Amino acid sequence: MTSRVVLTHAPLSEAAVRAVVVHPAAGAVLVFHGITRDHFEGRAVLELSYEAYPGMAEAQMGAIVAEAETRWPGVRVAIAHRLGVVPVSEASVLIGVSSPHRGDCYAASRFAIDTLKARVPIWKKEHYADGSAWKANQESGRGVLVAGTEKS
Amino acid sequence: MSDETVSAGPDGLQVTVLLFAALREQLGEPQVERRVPTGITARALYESMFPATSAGRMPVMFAVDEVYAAPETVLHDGATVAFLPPLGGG
Repeated sequence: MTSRVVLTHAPLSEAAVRAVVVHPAAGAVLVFHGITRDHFEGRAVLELSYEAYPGMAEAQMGAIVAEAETRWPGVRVAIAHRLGVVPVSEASVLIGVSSPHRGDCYAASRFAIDTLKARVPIWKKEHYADGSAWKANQESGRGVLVAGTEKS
Repeated sequence: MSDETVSAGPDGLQVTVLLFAALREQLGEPQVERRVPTGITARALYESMFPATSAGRMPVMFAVDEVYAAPETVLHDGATVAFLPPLGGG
């Protein structure tokens, strides 16, 4: 992987994400893993699947990388998100961040995952023994122009 | 669906509508072409395609040509408008 932004149906590689951001002037590197859980509110989740609006999702992920790198000078950020079925305990998202010092690394990593959950057009479906449901992030839409049509 | 509520006159526009997640499942298609009246907003098109039920209507965000757009954005001829249900990435 050489790109700062990846959307793929294949398993994600921590080493690849790390390699994209690490450089000789970096003194800290973090790779955040968002992984899939086997339960939701007491119900067993058998499988999770993700779908995206690909062009827009990549553009939004790229905008988050650019925004983080502007806000924390010297920081490098890479984001990879998996689509399709993601088996339990595997990574659905990886966020790699390197920086000269650790403080900015933690801050930029937190910013990137929080903003991704708010703005990147990707959806998650949980499959249970007795059905399935699309699960929304609490952060969905935060900071975006929006909130369309409310319930009547 | 309710084509009659968005029947376009001779001055209508052609738009492409993208559906995702629960809305895609509800309509049974990921993408539809629609002839719509000049001046229609993203919100009006959504409300015409997905009439409110007793459970209300799913709150959505809108994108026009892959960029977030306000609900009152007036659609242009050839626009690609996407109805984005609550996001679940990460």
